[in-house]
Amino acid sequence: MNSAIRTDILVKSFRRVEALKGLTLDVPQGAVYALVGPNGAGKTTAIKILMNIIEATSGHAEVLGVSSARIRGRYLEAIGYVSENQQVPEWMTVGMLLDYLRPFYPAWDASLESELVKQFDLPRDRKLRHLSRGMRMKAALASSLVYHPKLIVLDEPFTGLDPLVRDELIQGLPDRADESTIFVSSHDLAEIETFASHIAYLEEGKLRFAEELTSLASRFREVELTFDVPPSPPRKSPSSWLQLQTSAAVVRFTESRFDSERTSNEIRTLFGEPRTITFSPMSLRSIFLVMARTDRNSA
Amino acid sequence: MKQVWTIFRKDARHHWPEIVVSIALLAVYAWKDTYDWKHPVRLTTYILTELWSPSLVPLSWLLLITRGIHGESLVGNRQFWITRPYDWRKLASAKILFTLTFINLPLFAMQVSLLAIAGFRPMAYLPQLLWIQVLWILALFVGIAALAAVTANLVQMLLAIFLLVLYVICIATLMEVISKPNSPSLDWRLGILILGTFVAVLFLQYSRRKTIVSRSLIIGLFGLLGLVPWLTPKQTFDVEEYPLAHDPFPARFSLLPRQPPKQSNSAPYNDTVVMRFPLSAVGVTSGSFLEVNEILVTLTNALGLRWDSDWLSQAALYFPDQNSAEVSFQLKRKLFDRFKTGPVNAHVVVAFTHYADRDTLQFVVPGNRFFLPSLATCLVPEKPYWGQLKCRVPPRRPTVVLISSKFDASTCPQSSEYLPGRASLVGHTLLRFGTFVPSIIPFTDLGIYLSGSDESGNSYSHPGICPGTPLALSHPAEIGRNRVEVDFENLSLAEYEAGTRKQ
Repeated sequence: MNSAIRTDILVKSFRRVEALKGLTLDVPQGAVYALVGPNGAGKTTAIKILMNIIEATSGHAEVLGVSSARIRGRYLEAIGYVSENQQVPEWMTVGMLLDYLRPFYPAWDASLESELVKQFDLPRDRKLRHLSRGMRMKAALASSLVYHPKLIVLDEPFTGLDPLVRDELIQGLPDRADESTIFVSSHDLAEIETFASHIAYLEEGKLRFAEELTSLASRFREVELTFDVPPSPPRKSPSSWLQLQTSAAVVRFTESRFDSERTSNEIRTLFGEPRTITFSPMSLRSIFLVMARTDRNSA
Repeated sequence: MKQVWTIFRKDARHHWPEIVVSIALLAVYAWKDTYDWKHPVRLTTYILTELWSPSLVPLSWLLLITRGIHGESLVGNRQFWITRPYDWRKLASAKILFTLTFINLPLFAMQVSLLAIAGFRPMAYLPQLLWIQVLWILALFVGIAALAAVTANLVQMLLAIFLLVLYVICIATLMEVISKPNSPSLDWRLGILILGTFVAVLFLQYSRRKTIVSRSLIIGLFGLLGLVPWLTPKQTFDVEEYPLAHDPFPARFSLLPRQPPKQSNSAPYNDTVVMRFPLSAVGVTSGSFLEVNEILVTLTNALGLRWDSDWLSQAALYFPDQNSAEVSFQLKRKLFDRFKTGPVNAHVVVAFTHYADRDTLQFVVPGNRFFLPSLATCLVPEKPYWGQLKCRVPPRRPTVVLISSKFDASTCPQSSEYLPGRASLVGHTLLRFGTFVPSIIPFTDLGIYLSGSDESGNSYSHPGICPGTPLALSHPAEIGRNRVEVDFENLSLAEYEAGTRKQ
């Protein structure tokens, strides 16, 4: 078992609406895997199927080597799940919640519990209903990290949190990456970029791509060409060139399969020798914006 | 077990206010009941009698069970517990433990205490007390749990109950307005269907959280139950239990001439006529007696008019030395008026049980409060209620008890007023025990009064049971059940009119 999560043509329909359209994923063990995409892309649906909260309409999913349809009871001793939508027993204090959950987990680490309570600055004697949303998320995260889960599943954990709390949550995750696979869904790309090792982009229930973040970052470049005289626009450009724009003597586009030599040769073939060529690395956010615009234009 | 205990402790901690309220209501109800029992003229105020009515205690149980189950709601997909390593069997066990601990155990303790306070040995009634607990679980708790399992919160639960009540009212109205089908009765097959559905719902919800399927099952069940009165055959008296008697008959029934009614209770607007047939049963052997349980009457006349009754419940007793008693039935006024114009032939099927009297114990009422041996704790109510014993019977195995007393042996004040012409009569009452229902108080309260019939079949109340009145208690054994068919010809039906009543 080298995959922490594996899905095979997962489909989920809610009456006539198809929320997932054949999702196939492979999350390697030890990865910090980010499932990103706009609201309504199907991220939460996918996670709920993985956690056996809802059933898939068709297809198959495995979590830690077990069919997701069987994920319940003892299997959940190895999985930590935190979701923005999850209810919490609000009548409990933070301390009561931790005390209550302790007997459920054989691997509960009391010293880690103290450490996390301190790290997240959690007030043990405050009822969850009296905590802010951010504090509740931190309490939920602490209660899901403290038993050293093999898999941590986070569904939109940063939504609606102030930057300070986001940072605290994010800082809490890399420490766990050594022992756990982290599967996190978000539409907050800036945060994801800081700690994810893999990324998958889901849109309208379809997986656009899934790869290591380093690979993604290395194959996307913002390219700017300057010419002495305005070049004539090419009739046809390589399919890997996205959002090609020509403005006087400047041409800009995004190369989605960047290879310095090949890309330079393609430029020269189409435009001749430019005065300058600039290849700029792109942020995750910029990459997704380009892809989203490209999709919109091609739709 | 650790998980069961953990969940149980959490529930106990979370729901302690509901637990306290439930136990307090139970305690107050027990106190109120004991108080009322000890005070024949009830001094409790309207608030005490009505506010602490028996329905409040089950309502508190409903709240407690519902809140307990909703602690780990089985409806929805946002509950925190569904992504935690709960074992559904342990979760369900914790909820069962919660119910047993905070509902059944206090109820059991209260019942044991009440038995002890009343002077009974609780351990002697342990199986019956435990059976009452089981009945509560089967009759109420499983149903509440099933409804709670398919609702997400208390509001949904109350809405479901409201809809259920509305549905029952609609069915009852339909039964009244559209047609008059058979009254639904809870026979064992229907009981198993209901219980089976509830258990299936609980299993589905706890093991799989199949809320849509579970809700459909419950809706289907109640839909089916609503059709039961129309779908099931009319429930009739099981005549097969009473085989036709052959010679020698346990008794021969004959119709006695009707004595004029002592007083008329007719009113001009009444549309149903009550008919009384005084029957004598000759041949009842010494040491035995008959109880007529049901009769089936067919009336015909020379004009071809015919009327058939259904099987009609009776409770007439026939003894060797007091062998006359009345059976009764009702007839529509219009039909009665057509029949009474001429002679009528009556065919009557009499279904009866033959008992051998045994284990007779002679007993003299020792005081105003006393124990009827092996039966009940009783008191003689003060004037103006004297004469009728008020007794509390603890839960018993199925048994029949016959209590008898001579009219002239009554020691009640003014008993002589009742005696002229009836001094030789013996008053009887036949009591049956052992029909268990889910009850809060572990007693059946009885008003015991005796009645005897003269040679014409007219029934009279015993002058009363007071301190010093001798009683005979026996435990009759059933010898057999039979039915006999008797024909009475050329009757003047008007002679047997006992009165009229408004339907």
